[in-house]
Amino acid sequence: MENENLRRLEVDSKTVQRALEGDRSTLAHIYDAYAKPIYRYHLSRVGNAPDAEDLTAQTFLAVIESLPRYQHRDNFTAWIFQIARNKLMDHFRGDHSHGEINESVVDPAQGDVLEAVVRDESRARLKSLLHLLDEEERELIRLRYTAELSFVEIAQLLGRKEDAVRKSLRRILDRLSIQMEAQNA
Amino acid sequence: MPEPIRPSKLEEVMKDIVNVPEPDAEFMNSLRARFIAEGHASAKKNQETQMKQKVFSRRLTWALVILVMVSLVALFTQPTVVNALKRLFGYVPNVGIIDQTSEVRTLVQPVTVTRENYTVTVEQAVLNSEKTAIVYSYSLPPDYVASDGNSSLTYAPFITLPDGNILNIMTARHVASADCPQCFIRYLMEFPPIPADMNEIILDIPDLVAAPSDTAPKDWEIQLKFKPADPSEIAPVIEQVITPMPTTASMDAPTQSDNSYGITNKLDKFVSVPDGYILYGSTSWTDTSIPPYGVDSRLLNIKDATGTEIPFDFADVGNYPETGKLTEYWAYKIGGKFTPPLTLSFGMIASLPADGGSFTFDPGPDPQLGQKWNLDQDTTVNNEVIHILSAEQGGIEPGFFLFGMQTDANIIGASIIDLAHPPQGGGGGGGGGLPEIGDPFYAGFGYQMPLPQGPLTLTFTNVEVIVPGDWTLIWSP
Repeated sequence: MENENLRRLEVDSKTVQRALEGDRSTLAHIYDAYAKPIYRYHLSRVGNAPDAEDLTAQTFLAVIESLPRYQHRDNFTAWIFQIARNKLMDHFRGDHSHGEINESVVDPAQGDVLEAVVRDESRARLKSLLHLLDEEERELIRLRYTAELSFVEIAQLLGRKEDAVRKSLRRILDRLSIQMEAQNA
Repeated sequence: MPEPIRPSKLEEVMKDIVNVPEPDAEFMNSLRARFIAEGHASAKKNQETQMKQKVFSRRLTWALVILVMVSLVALFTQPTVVNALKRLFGYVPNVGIIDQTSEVRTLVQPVTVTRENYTVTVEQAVLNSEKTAIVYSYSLPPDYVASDGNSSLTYAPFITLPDGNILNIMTARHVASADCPQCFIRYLMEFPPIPADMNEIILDIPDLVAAPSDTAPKDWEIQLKFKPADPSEIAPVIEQVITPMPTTASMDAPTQSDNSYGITNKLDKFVSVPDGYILYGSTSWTDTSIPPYGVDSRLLNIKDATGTEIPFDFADVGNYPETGKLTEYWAYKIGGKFTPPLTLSFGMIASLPADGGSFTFDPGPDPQLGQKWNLDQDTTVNNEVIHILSAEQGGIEPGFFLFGMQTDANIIGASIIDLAHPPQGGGGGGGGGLPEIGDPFYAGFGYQMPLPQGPLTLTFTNVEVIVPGDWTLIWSP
């Protein structure tokens, strides 16, 4: 999460204000800070690059439309990810199938890496256990480990307390750990 | 048998498992260009629209307005009302207002370093007992061609002191660079104060901020030297508190329609800069039913003594409320050509908790996206009647309903919730300019799917109101 502090540091109310004023470098900064996390999040949900690209583009164009209505509450990340989630819901409203965490994201170019991961027994088991999580739990995993959001950002996005998010994720990890140990026994 | 994975280790494994392939660089670069271009164009269009917006119409009588304005002009043109010019604070372009009760130091001279045709210039540094502010800019190579968008993973700058101690960055922001055509970006960073006996430091910039490609050189180490500030480098900040006169006084307990919630809107100080003035002020309130950030003061327009509308821009506030404090700060920049005094017209919107008014709505067994219902119900919220006009499914999410409302009271927005069903999302309407009292507004609520069957009850959680009162400020330099 090396870019987490940088995102929070730089997209403050002044940054938003400058974006509203049309400052190109500020717009570039916002894009650079969020484009990859949002793309990764979309890809983890839809499972294919073309749809993820389309949704990422839709998200950023919606940001332009919505920015004048944004009210700074130190929650820019939650705000922009809510737009991304809305776009996803629009997407799933059609005939698209729901993607799973990384399940159908196997890019031929990434084949060697994924094979290496799958070769690891523990990782393969963990991957299978992930599919047993409910949707809310999977969303937490995506936001934390794929989109690399902080606990504060996830809490703001989901309308929950930071501590509750932290505990939820801890409980998921603990449960996964116990399940894996049980399988090992 | 493989080792059990502990939760801490599990997180590392999880990151690997849920990792996804990197986006296509060509796509990212193309979208980046489009986002910047459309964002810039949209902003300019919005600014033009805002400047053309008509003044929001007040329901005070013209006679009262004129009376108050005349009184204020008479009051604030008196020399005794204007506080003495104070030298406690100073203004430095790009840095903002600084405390100069202790010695202020600045750069001996700007420092420029060029590597691989990227040129970084540390333009300014302002040091006092509170902080160290450093401004740098950089220019791209003349033959630069955007190649990819890989610039989001960057490390923050830091300062290395002569004794080896490190000062980490506290805050940073972009600053205007219109006066520097070759600058790709100009950036203000704030660090903790540097001890007064240290006049040479190393500024470390691991990554140039917002560098548009990974080809930019990394790990810039720039030596900076400081000297006592020349008084000519710091403009005086003139403290001149202007608060509007109260226009109404009621002996009765206030209702939502005549309560001003202890709101005070005032101009605190101004700075004369070469191309005009920067006006600083604040809006505070005493009614604790309104939370922090719960009051939104909007400068609607500025007119000079001849009635000419004076353009304004937002300026760096340079001051943020402490946690929980019921104050918002504002700052606006104006040009220097006008006939004083200036009249600053504000609108004031407050977000208030609702006392629980509700209404019911039955979407039927199979509501369709885009389907609309006429509701035609009245409900009472905070002793005011809100007419629920309509409902519509569609827009944002499956199960998301948008409710049209209208009231003759001063409510211009609302948030609602179904207490019996967990939300997928909710929200209020409003935003943009200042709506008129009586304008329709919208509030939405999103249900988790599948949609609950049968009548649904939506309860108001808070309302946005136009706060009555005269928020006009009269100012002369």
